[in-house]
Amino acid sequence: MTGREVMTVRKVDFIKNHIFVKAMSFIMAAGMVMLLMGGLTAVPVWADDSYTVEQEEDDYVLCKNRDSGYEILIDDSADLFTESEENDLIPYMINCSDGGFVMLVTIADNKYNDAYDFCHSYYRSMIPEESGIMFLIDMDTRELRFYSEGSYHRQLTADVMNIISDNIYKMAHNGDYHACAREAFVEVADVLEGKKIAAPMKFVSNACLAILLALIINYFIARGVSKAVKPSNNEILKSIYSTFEFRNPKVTFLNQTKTYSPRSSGSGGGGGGGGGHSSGGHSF
Amino acid sequence: MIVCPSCGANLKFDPQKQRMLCEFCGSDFDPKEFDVKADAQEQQITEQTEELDTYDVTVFTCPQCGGELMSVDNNTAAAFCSFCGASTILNSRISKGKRPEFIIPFSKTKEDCKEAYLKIVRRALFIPREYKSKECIDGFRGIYMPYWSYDVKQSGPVGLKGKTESRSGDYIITKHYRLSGEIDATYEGLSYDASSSFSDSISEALAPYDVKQRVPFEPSFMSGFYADIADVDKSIYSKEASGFAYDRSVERIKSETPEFRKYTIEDESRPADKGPGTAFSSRTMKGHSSMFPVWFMSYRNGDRITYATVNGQTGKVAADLPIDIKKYLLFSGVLALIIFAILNTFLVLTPKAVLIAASILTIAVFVINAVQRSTIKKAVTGEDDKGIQSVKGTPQNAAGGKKKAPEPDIPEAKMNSLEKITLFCGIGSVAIAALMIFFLHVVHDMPYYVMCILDAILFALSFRFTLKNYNIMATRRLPQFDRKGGDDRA
Repeated sequence: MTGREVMTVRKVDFIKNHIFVKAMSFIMAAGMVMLLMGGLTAVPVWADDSYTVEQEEDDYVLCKNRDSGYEILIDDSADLFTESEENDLIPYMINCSDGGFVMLVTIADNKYNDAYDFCHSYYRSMIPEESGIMFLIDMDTRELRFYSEGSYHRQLTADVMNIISDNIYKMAHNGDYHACAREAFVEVADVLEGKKIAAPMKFVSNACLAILLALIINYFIARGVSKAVKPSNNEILKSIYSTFEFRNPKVTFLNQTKTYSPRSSGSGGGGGGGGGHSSGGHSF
Repeated sequence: MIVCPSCGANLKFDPQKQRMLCEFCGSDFDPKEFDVKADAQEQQITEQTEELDTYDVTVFTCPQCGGELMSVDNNTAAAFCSFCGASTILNSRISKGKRPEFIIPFSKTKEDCKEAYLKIVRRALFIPREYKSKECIDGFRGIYMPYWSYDVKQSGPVGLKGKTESRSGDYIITKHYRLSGEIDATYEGLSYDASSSFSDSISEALAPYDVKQRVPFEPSFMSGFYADIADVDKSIYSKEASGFAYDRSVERIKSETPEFRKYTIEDESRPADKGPGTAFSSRTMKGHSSMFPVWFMSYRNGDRITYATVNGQTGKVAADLPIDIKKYLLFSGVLALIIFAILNTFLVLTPKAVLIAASILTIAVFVINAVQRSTIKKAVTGEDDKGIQSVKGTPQNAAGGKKKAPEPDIPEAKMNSLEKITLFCGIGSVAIAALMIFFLHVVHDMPYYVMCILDAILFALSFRFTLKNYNIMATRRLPQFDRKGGDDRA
């Protein structure tokens, strides 16, 4: 084969490849168009049969599960999410709603000046005696706060909610509230499914504390073992000869003094735990 | 030397049989009976005057520390010093020992003593292996320690202050009473060690000795054992004894007099060693010189020494228990794993909480170190040891009053430059942590963790000194006695 012939073969291969690439591109493009068309004609992902939108306003979305009666609520008073972002978050919230109500609340002004107090009040006003979880983004106190009650409280303990808050507070700090809320509900769903959530700093800090505590505890153990036990007064008395007699006891009144000591108003002790709710959070 | 009447060999006191035993022919004798026979002439003399109340002893003096021990056996040679642990033949001389009035003979054998010591040592997880070794434990030596046993007499009228309290509206009504009566009490045998070489801390820990088992002193009880020499004056603990007796009587008046039960007896606030209070007479009538049995072992490690002592009557142990740093770290590692597992199971700490915990632990180590230095200082100066203070003497000013002694140089209690830097950084680190937590409200977790790591490093650096100080506290300086034969270079 001459050099020219080699060139011709290469050109033919190039043309063949070019046609193949073009055909593949066409098929892929067609597929994508079909997918897109299918997507446009299909119902939204979150809108499964059991959930219906009960109320929808600018910053307020309420969906209800027809079977269980549980509701999904987004109350975006701080206006942190766009409408599409709210729609995007609902499926993640649905994933957490098997056992009760799920709420995502954002506020710009907290009249309680405390995220926990707000959560407690808001939750009680919305669903007084129901199981549920609430995630609050408080722009006033710059705090993320989870609040759970009822059946959720057993799995979503304060510790767990603190871990989730630790994992997501940076997103809120960077202004990505949508990602922050989404990740919050992803991790909540993971916990409800019994999965472990990442808590790298928990291990590091626990390891650090365990070492420090072990060193100190062992020190006190060593001190305790080596500490000389001095005899009690009774032991000493038993080991010596002693006699004791006290005769003619007499009591003589001398005088009386009066000291002003007002009774305290006696405020009651703190009330017992209401039971069944927990909270955890992080500032951002 | 106490000679066997059957074969002429040396007789030794056997704690198990409580008799004089001849190791050569196996004969045994009653120590009291034996002594009367052997020293009839001396007994006659001693009855005449107390000054001549002496007995023949061999005094062994350590050429290194000047420590002295007595023995009634003149054909033995002491090959090591119990006080400084020096393995050397001690200088010996024949002398006259002042005859004590009472003795509590050894009733625990060396085997009992070893067993009691090992029981304690087995509990001490971090003790260096050599402290459990056979050579070390075989070093226990039976020594009679000199004690002063005081008799306190209380008699005459008692006048205590009592009160009752009741509330009337916004007022507390306190009624004051005089609680009187007559007391007649005695406390015989309140004992305090009479040797400055025997630390008060050890003698307190070995106490109590059951003085009801004391017998009049016979030198034969000392055969096979050594004795320390009394160098603390009888008057030193006299007030302490009468004060102790006073307090016990006040307690008994409170608890055993039904007429006084409804009254709160107002205690006089005074230190226990400052003598009795003023509510009734509590006087020390007599101080008896006594000898109490102690199994004594010393272990020398470089320029430090540890003492292990066992009460020769009750078997109670008081021992210095230093720690082996490697063992300590190993056990701490194991414990850390357990704590880590517990923390991971039950606890999730926020970064703030972790930093607070780390800061508290770091402060705790600094506080421990400060307390340790103070304890070391007291131990080295003998500040809490009346016996040592009495022998050293208190400096007097020209007017005869006490003057403040110059601060002694105690290298063990001094902070080195690294320790100072660590302390300085630690204080700074805790201050920054407090600032971050309470004022700056830092949002990010990382600064908290960084401060935690810094605290942990400072903790580790400081804890090195904690362990070092612990071993200083658990050991002693090599003693230097102001007696004949002391060698300052030791």
